[in-house]
This record gives sequence, structure tokens and C-alpha cells, in this order.
Amino acid sequence: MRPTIDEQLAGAGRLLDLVESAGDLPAGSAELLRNAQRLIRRVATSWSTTLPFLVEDNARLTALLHHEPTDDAATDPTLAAERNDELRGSLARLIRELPGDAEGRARRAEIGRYLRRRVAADPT
Amino acid sequence: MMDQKADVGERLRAFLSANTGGSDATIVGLSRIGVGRSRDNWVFDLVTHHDGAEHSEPLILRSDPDGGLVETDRGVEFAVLGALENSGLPTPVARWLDADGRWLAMPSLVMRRLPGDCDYRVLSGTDRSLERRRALAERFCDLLVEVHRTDWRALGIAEIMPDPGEQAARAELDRWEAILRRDQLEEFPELELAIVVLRETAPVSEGTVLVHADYKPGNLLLQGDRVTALLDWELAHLGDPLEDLGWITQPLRAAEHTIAGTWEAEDIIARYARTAEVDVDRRSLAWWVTFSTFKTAVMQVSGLRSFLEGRSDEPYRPTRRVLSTLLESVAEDTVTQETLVREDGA
Repeated sequence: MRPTIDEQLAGAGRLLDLVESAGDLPAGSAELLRNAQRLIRRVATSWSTTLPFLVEDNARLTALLHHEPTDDAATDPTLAAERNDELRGSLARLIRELPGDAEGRARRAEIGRYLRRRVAADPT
Repeated sequence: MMDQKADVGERLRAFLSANTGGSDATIVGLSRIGVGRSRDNWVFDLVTHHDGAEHSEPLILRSDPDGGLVETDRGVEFAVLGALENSGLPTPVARWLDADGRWLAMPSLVMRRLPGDCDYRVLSGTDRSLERRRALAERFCDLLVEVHRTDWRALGIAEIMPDPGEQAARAELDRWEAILRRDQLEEFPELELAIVVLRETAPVSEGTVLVHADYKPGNLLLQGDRVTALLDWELAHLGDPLEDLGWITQPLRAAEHTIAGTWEAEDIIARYARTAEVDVDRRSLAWWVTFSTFKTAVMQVSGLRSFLEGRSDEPYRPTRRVLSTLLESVAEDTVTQETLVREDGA
């Protein structure tokens, strides 16, 4: 299906680049343009990998929290994102409630390892 | 832009007229400095006539941006600047305050303009020789010691802001956690983990000083190699001197505060300790370095909200670099604690 999402994002980026190359923009407008370019570039490099990332992260979070696996609609980005928000909310509550004893600290270390991996893998 | 300039000029005229007793004050050369809505500063000269002569005072109007990274209290900044006028520190004279934005549309203060230029990357730039940059870096460090040596009690600063005493670390953590709670649009387990670890390991402050809380070359004005002004006191408070030292030695700020191979974090710490004649508690300093990263992440959370609500044009967000640095820092603490627990139990 043309234009593809990538083609549309590349097109938007190219048009913004043209505005930039035309020069003579007031400083304030040039700053706004750079910010818009950054956003477009970020979406262009992350949109296609966001759904697989969320699906995998939901599975990891479900296991980390010892929740029962659910039949998430793995093809629906909105549902996957909503599920991720729920699970991250549960994880935040768990962190706040963990006791400060050795068992709690071990669990915290496990959560820390998971979070470091997540931050490194997050494409957004 | 012209409409905005005319509007600011008209408001300023009314504000200054009310504050100068309805004198024949004239605003000359009004122009905006900085770009974007994240910085709303206007420079101008106030020309008055008295004693048979014309007097011109260089001033700067600084307003609270609607979508700034952190909401700050211009009233506190105004009061602190007033208290510091006789401190010997290179701070601008605060002239007038519009605390609630009644006159100038936004909470604003008018300060006397000082000469000099601001350069965030002056230490890493190539405009000056390595020797000159190293000397500047040492001067910046010594100036921080001077800030911390300020006799805040004698200057009346204790009447402006509370002294958290030995609980300075917990007080700052509470303050920034409250900002996070106010501005977060979603849960951040990464920040929750940091809060828990920071709260458990918060050090006891060994003494209260005036903390600038955003000390950096970007908040200094330079004329040649002379520091003419230390600006942006909006986050200043009473607290632990290691807070500022942690802020300037945190890895995330290395590009601003260090010179690779010549002036590293260890050099800053050694110079600070020697000049201030103190022993720097490395464990406490490590806590403040981690706290600085947490504070940066909270600023990004606030910035994200401002952007999504259309109050800011900067697309801030908690970045991978900040979050991973923070998680690495608290993970080291977690490992240390685990090790200690195991050793205790052995």
C-alpha cells in the first residue's frame, strides 16, 4: 500500500529539511523546526518496532509480576500499549510496597535488572 | 513578534511607572534574548531624568515561561537576590517583582543587567587555550565554594527559606518526588525504584549552606575570563553543600563541567575539598550524584507534560541516557546492600 508509513514519514522529514535549507528563518521558528524534525525522526525509527517491543515487554512483565498470562491481542498496538501501562502500574506499586529485608532487596535487584534491559531495548 | 514586543513594552511602561512613582521613565532598546518559549527574557534600558541629568539603567525582565521545565517561585528568587546584594557574590541586583503576573502577564522580576556573555560549553570550546580553560574551571569551582561560604544566617536567608538541617537529603528527595507526583502522566517504575533506594540510603548532612542547585557555566556571565555574574537562583535553597558538588560532578553533566584529560570530576572534588577545607564524604557525594540524575529525570517528566499540554515547544521526555544512568547508579547500591546483607548473615 503506497505510500507506506515509512514513505510518509520520510516525506514529512524531507519537506521539513527543505524548509530548513531555504534558510532565513527567524531563530524562534528555526528552533521549532528542529524540534519537529527530531520528533519525525524518532517516530520514523521506532514505529515499526514498537508493537513487538510492547508484546515482548508485556510477556516479561507478566512473568516478573507472577501474573497469569493473558490472551493479549498481539496485533493491536492500542491494546498492547494499554496492557503495558497496566503492568507498569502494577510494577510501580510493587516497588513501593516491597519490604526492605533481604528478600525484598533481592526482588528489587531482579526488578532493576529487568528495567535496565527494558530501557536499553525501548525503541521509542 | 512585533505585537508581542509592543505588548511587553506597554506592560513594562505601566509596571515601571507604578514602581518609580510615576516618573517620566522611558524604556529604550527593548529586545528579547534567547529563543523559543522556554526562555522569556527581555533586555532594555530604563532612562529617567532627575537632578537635572539623564540617567540610564541597564535592566533585564525575566518572566516565568508558561511551560518551563520546573515551576519555580520568582518571589523566592527575588528575595534571595535581595539578600545576596551585600554578600560579595557576583549576583544581579533585583529591582522589582511582579509576583503574580498582575502587571506583566506572568510572574516576573526585573534585574539590573550585568556585562558579559554566557557560554554553556566554555570549558570544552576551542575559543580559549587549554590553560585558560583550566584556570576558568578552577575559578568556577572556587566560586561555588564562595557560595557555600555565604553567611546565610547573617544575610537573613533563613527568613526566606527553611533550614532542613541534617535531613537535607530527604528534604530534597521529598521536594522532587512531589514534583514528579504532580507532573507524571503515567507510572515510571524506573523512578519508583530510584526513590526507594535513595530514601533508604539518604545521607545525613554535615552542615547547612546556601545551595545554588543549578550551578553550571550556562548560568555564569563572563567578560573575558572574569566571572561577572552568577545567575538563575530560582532553585536555590538551604541544604547540603554536597548537593551542588554532586550536580557538577555527575556524569550527565561532564560535557559542561569537565575538560577531558585535564579537569575531570576527581579534579573538581579535590579542588573543592582543598579550597573549602573540608573532607568530602565519598559515600554521601555518590548519593547526591545519583540524586542529580533523578532530579534530571523528573525535570524531563515535567517537560514532557508541558509539551503534551502545549505549554512548551521542547519535546522533552525521560531519555534512555538519563534512565539507564539512574538505574545503573541505584543498581550498584542494591548490589552493595545485597552484599552487606549476605556478609552480615554469614
